[in-house]
Amino acid sequence: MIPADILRIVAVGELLLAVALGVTLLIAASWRARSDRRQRADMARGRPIMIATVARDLTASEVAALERLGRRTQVRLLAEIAPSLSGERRARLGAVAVRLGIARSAESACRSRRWWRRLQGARLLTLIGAGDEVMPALLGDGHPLVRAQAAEWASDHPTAATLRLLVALLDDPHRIARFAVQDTLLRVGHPAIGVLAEGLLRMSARGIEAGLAVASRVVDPRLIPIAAALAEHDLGDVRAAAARALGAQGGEVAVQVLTRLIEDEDPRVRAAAAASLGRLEHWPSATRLLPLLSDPSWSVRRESALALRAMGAPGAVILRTALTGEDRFAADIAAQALALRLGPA
Amino acid sequence: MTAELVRIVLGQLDVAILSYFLIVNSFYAALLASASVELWTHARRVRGESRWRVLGSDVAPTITVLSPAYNEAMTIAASVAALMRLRYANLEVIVINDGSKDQTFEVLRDRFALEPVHPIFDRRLPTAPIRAIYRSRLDSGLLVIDKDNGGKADSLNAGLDLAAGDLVCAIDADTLIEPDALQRMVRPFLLSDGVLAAGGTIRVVNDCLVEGGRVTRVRLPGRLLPALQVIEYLRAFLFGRLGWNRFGGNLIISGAFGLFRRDAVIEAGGYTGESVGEDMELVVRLRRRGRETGTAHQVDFIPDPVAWTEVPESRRVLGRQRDRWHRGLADTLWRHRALFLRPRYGALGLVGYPYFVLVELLAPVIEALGIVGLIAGLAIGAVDVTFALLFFLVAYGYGLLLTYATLLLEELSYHRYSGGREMLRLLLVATIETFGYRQLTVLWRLRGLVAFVRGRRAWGAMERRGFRAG
Repeated sequence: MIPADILRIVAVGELLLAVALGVTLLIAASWRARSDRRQRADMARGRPIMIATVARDLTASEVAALERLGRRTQVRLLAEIAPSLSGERRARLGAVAVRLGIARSAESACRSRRWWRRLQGARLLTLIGAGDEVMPALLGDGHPLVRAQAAEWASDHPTAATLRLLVALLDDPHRIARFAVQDTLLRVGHPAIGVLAEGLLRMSARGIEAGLAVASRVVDPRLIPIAAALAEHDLGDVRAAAARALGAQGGEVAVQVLTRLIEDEDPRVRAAAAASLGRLEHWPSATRLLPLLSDPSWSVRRESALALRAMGAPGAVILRTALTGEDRFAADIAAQALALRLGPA
Repeated sequence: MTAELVRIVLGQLDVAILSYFLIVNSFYAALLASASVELWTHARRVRGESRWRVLGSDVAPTITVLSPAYNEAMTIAASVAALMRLRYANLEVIVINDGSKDQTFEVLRDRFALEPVHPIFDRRLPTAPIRAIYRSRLDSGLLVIDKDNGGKADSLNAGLDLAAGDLVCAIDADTLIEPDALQRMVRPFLLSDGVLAAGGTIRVVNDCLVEGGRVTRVRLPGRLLPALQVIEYLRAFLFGRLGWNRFGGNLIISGAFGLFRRDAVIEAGGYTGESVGEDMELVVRLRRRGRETGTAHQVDFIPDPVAWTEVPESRRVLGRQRDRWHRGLADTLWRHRALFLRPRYGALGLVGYPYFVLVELLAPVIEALGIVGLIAGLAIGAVDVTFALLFFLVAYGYGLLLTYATLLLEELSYHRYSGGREMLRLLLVATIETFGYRQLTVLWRLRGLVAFVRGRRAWGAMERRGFRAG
């Protein structure tokens, strides 16, 4: 049996620790509540001044009042107001941030050896729209979150050099960075497409897929020859992505490539090509989709049926043909598509 | 002679039980340390983050929220309204009415102007017959499946078949998700291609103020039983689950709020209706399958996406819930017993699985042995009252310290319960939880273990009070 003395010593030790923790908790909770109240009051004082900056120049006393709030409150105010501003009003807010020294300290943070300091700096510079000197270099940072943040910053600074760096980042091994680049390219829009079209053919499959995902969400004729060329790629994933991109563009070349891709050996490619023909509502292709209703792959049958449905009357005729045909699978998917067509959705 | 023998046995037993408590609580302390590091890293990662990119991006992963509902007429309208207000760009919500006997479907139909639709979808997971599928005229992102009763797993499988999202978020119908929770929850999937599933924090909504499907004021419940569960949930999520991120990943993602890769779940065969612990069983199966096939097998827990759930307020219902949880745990561990100490499964087989067997599953048995031994010792005079009290204090005192440390972690990170007075109440409740409530849960968990051995599979009904509106 354990000696009672040992138990007594341990119990007293635990009790003392519990009391110490309890007191610490009470002090921490009270201090935190007071600190929160103070922070709310500071925010209430600073908010009207910060809002005024977007309409007019601040007086010296107003700048002094903002300086007195402290860096944490200044940044919180900026974070609260900046996302709802753009253009000149955002630039005026940025100018105040520069005047308060926030931009300088953020730029300094961007040069830190610690990734989270660089991330904080990059986030602040994105918020205030500054950092032309330090941010492009962060597109090649060692940490994926910092690279992603730099890509986000680039959407407001789409210079030719930055766009080239961005497109190269589509090949990034980390999805977060690729996601940020895709999003930025979509936000920048047409100025980015030329650079994207140039860069796509020089990337690995991962980068090409990411780039084609962007291409499938914008309409730009410069993308057609690139997507058509990538429809010949060795990898099925890339050919499927090319089919989706072509479905966004349309035109004779796109349709020619898509009608070839519906006979591809990879079911994902066939499904994507059928879906793209449906997206283009290219009714002359309707008869070519009929054999796909009997495809061994369910997703190919589904996409073909939905494509035929999207093509209107010519597609409906093909679906009804399948409905009365001998192939049970084709009849089943056609019946579902026609029910969908007749349904109230 | 007999008394002497009992004395010797009890002497050995108290050393064994105290050693068990020491080892278990020390592992908890390690989890707490791991959770602290995780919180520190997480805070740095998200500080100053602007999530509007995910909110507004066309390329963000699409998410389908699956909300199975069975006799939820009282809370379903508020829950679904809150889901429709979630801030996420590519969102689809599927509510599955699992053959409710109350007015759940009628409430949904009237409140959201449902109309029948006939979508084409691949029925890869077998389910109970589907009566009809509806889409809301008010919001095309809301679909409702009306089906025969088949249980929660069956409902989730029906939703999985119909879902179009890259990711599926399984929730309970009585769960309120914070508006930006999905934006936070999607982070690990963007950070790593190896992430298979992610779980978020569940908090207790009882007595909190709910306005427009959102928790606008957090309060510690006035009644003792739900307040005790606040402490349990804080400990389970803030350090229990978070700490596992650095010990090879979680084995549990709460059924009330979890995000999964849809293709992985379907390829694994969806939820199993044969287990009452379908949420844990799925996570273990997904991780095991990932290891066996060399595909994604990472399961992350993220502390800041928060979902609020109503916890039982009566001892009877709570006892039934804990009994079921323990049966589910036992069932999952039994189904996947091949993982035990198998290096092939990495940390899952060498750390996670043995921990869940030796600590989570067997804890009530060991605790019961300790308590019964102490009472027996007192009855036959083998131990005196002072020794018994000291033994009890030492055994459970370590646990109390860990609970206080969890409260400190909460205060330093999210501090949802603000002010000195609320903290004082939390401290009191935490103390009661350690000395009284915890021993009660031992009984429920033991009952679950016995029921599992006997092969009982019933769920037991949950009684709802509804959310407290502002």
